[in-house]
Amino acid sequence: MNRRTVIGLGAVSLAATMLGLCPVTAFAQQEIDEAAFLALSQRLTGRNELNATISARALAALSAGDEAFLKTAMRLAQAIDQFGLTDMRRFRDFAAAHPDLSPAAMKIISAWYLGYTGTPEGEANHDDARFVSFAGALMYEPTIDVTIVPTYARGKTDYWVTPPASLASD
Amino acid sequence: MASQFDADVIVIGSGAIGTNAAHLLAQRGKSVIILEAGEWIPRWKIVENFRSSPRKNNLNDPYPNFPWGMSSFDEDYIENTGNFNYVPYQLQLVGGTTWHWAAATWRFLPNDMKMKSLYGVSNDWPMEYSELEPWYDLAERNLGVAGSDTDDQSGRSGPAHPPRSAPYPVPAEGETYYFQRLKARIGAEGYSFIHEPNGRTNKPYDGRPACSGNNNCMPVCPIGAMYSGDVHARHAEKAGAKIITDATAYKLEKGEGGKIIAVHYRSSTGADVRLTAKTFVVAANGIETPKLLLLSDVANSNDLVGRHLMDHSGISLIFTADEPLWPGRGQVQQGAIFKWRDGDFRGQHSAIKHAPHNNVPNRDVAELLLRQGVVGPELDERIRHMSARWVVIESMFETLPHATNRVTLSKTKKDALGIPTLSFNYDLDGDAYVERARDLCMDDYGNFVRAMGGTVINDKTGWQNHAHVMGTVMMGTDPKTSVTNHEGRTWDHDNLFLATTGVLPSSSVLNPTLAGIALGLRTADIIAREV
Amino acid sequence: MRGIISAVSTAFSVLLFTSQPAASQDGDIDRLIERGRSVAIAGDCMACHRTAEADGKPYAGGYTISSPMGPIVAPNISPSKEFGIGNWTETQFVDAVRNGVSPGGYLYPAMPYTAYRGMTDQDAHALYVYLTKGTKPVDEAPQAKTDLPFPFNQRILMLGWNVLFNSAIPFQETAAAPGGHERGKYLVDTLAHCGACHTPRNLFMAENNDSYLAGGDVGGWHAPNITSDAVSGIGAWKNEEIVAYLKHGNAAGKSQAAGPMAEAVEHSFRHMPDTDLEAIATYLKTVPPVRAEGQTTPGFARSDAKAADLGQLDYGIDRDPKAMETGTSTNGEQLYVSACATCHQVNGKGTQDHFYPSLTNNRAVGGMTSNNLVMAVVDGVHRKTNDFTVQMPAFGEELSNAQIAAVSNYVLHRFGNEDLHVTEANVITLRNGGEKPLLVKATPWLMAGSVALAAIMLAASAFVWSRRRSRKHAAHEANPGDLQPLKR
Repeated sequence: MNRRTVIGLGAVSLAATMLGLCPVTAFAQQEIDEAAFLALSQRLTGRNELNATISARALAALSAGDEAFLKTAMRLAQAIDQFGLTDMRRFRDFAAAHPDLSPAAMKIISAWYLGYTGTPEGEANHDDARFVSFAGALMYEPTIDVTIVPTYARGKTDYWVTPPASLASD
Repeated sequence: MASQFDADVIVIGSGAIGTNAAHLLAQRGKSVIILEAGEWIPRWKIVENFRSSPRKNNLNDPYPNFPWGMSSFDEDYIENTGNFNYVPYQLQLVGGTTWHWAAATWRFLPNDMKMKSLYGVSNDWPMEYSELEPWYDLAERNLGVAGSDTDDQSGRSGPAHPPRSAPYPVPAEGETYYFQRLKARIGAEGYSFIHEPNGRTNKPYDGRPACSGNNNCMPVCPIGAMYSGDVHARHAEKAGAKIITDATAYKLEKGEGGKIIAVHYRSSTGADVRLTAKTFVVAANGIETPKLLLLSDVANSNDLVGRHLMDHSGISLIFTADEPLWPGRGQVQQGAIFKWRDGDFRGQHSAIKHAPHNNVPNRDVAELLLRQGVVGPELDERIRHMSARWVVIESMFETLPHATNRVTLSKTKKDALGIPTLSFNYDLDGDAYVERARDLCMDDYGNFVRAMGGTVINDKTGWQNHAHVMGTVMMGTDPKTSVTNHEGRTWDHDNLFLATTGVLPSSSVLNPTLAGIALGLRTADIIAREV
Repeated sequence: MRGIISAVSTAFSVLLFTSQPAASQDGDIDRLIERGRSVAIAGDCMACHRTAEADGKPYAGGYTISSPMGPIVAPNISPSKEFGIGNWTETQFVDAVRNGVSPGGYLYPAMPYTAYRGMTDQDAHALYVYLTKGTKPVDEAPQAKTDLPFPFNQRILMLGWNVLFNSAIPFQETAAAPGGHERGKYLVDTLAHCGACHTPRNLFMAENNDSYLAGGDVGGWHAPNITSDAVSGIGAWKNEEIVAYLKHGNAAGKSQAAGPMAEAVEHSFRHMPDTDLEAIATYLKTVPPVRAEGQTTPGFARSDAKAADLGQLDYGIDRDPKAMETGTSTNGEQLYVSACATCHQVNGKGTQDHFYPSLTNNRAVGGMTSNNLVMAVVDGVHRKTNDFTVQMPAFGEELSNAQIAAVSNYVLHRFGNEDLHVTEANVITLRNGGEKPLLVKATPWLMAGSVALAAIMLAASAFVWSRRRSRKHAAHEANPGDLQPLKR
């Protein structure tokens, strides 16, 4: 994944407009389903290609920690459609208009970026944290041309002595 | 006659110290049994456990947490009564806690071993540096330690120190760009940057591949470039030692004449087994070793077992620099910044070791930004911008041995095997020796941030410990003030030896595992001449 | 028979003595030693005549060659008078190198004397001078001893074998010297003895020259087809790629040297001058192509990994402690992700700098046999190059045979030749040295029948075989003193 592509996806309004063409909520459902959650996730992360398997896992993790989540997420999706939120640069405005729904939006975005839901406790084994993804966590995409997803090798021993090629523009 | 005993030597614990000692004994033709509370777990499985963990900050999370072998991160296993919440991080599997160290393998300086006579605090070791040196050398060869043969590790920018009888078995790895830049700018302020000797080989060594910067030393090196105790567990087996897993030692049985005659262990199913040997080595970590002694009421005639717990308690600093440094390329740490390393000040306050961390910072950065509500294209842009500039400095302070800082058996709780769990009392607040160091450390932090044109993210972390357990079964020259003599032999039982960092009688600011292995090898050599 | 061999050796020694320089000034000796060193490097003497441990004393011997008949321990060939070849005359030395007859008796063809028989007189002389005067004596014998089971411990049997199979003709200096028009062929056939591994063996463990360099099996590993065939061999490789492979053990996007070939790179090829490596590449491109039956795609040409759901490769697990402790899964995908993808990456493409090679575009994965894939997993890869040492850890202890089969099948299916399938039994066979040749398998039967019958069979097949061989060697000038293969 080229980081320019990634950042480009978020920044170029064309992509956002394309996403905006397909409403997240096709029917007046009560609870969000996997397809609608995937569409909602795409909107919230500004990415038009997200993995459906990870999406299903994120939905399962979020709803396991919160009985009302399926309904809240559905209301969030409907509100986003009504608000016409196609460009996440306008999220602050949306959040101000929907303070009851923005925490759910942040939970979904966090699940995709961090690869877990809940709050891991540093020095305890009992918490509500749930796994969503690791190599697929979006937080690694913006830097993947320079650093790694930990555990996965980048190259030869001592490659780290020379700075990355992008240094001058970083 | 050998047939009277189950083994010449029984080593309790299959960690780096126990297996190095067991390997030496087996090489010398002794029959050796190693008892391990946990199991063999293949590396790939631990890697899988790590990648799928939702709590990647928890170093113990990739390792199983059984009701009979509880993780020290389990609140059911550890209770605290002091003003610091002490968590020792130990692991129970073949190879032990070195599965999730970062393999920093410093040697103590000769002065570190003479704290009492030079600076009037802490303890002198019951041996000279020169007596330990050959064993440091062997330990370094066993681990494939990479290091610089020219650095003055006392931080005085003098000739190479401490003295060595042989070069490092592996040359130092290349300096990360991140470290180069910190060194150029902070070093200009009068701080010395010293390469950290480490067991993360950067060329193929003893069947291990070269490190290629997978940046995951803790909680598991995915390729086995970093040394862990399973390496010598395998070597010990090939040399003839027998490893019994799922064997939690819970009692050392006393016989006549102060001898230990047997060890009793319990399996996870509750089955009890008694094994006899001529000599016993408890190499069960600085916490679990005193636990076994306390459970057995051995080696404790002077009530010192479990006391004098020392760690490298410290604080840390996070800031963003004014230029891209790109941490996360290479190993998770590679050197130290010294200003307060050694000198007369040690009579008044701790020595300090600052360690710049080189972890891929994306998780910390993304968590911070998401907490601030940053989303959309700005989130991606800022993750990249901040990750490029993220600097973490962890600082460790030397602590003094206080009899009240201690581990004891829980009076109220037991694990699934019916064995008492652990209780800690560890106080840092109010300890002037470390508090003075903390003030000086904050001055250093100010200098670091200024030198790097930085913006502070967090410089108020509060006390942190590093699971560098020392002092709990300390060695010495006087049976009244120590648990073992310089051989690791308990004063109370001449066939019971302790091989653990718990025997270290002073803490310095250096990760103690290499010293523990060197001492364990020396102990094994002494035993090999006796049995 | 012994008489014939002695006669041959005498002929050689006469030749050698007459070709020896009249004046042996220091400069000449130095040059000879230098030449001998190059011969020893190209001949890869150190591949075997080293110590059992890595980095031991040169030419001290002790390294064990696992032959299909059993382990053969390489002897000390340092100039030690008691333990090495210090007391050997040049005639005796050359007799050993070319004829497989040492002062101590017959050698096994683990010593590639059938190839070395083609050595030029000048190189043979230089090699003797180098080994006796240019190296240090090691005054100790290897601890291990060659101890083959009956009947292979009857070294005298080699006498008959030699008559049948040791028939090469020495190259001429002008053609074989650096720059000579047969330099490449000389290196391939004689010094580097490529055929010892890359040409399949016949019923009697001699090279089957009908399939010259078409690929053979070596202790579980497969030495690939290196004929000029564009599909099965190296015909589609650029010469630079062949040179890079020999020099670094890595032709990115095609193949990486492991096992015995990594040793050849480490001890021999990387020390050879580029001109020699180029000569080898040029010659290999002229070797008659041999196409493996049914092969239509070159092993390195499978470039597309099968599609995979990345969300499934980035999976959660059962966090029950017992499950977290248990590493016996035979799910190939799970094993690949957790044990292999760390270096080779989830998409199998390796790292951008090719330090960790791609599993697509990789002959070990896309070829016609899975032996090298399985053996790389079992034994790992260890290859010292002039720049750095490549090491893939061995998984033979960490993974069970069933797990190795499972992960191999996953890799073959997703990144390479999905028609191949590895079973647990295959893994066991390969890690124990590969399929036993018929000669070894049949030995108990032959012995039961009678050794005489075996001898008759040997003689009969040898007649047919040597007729074939003679065609291959017709181009060579006959040496009057040599054992003459039958001619048409």
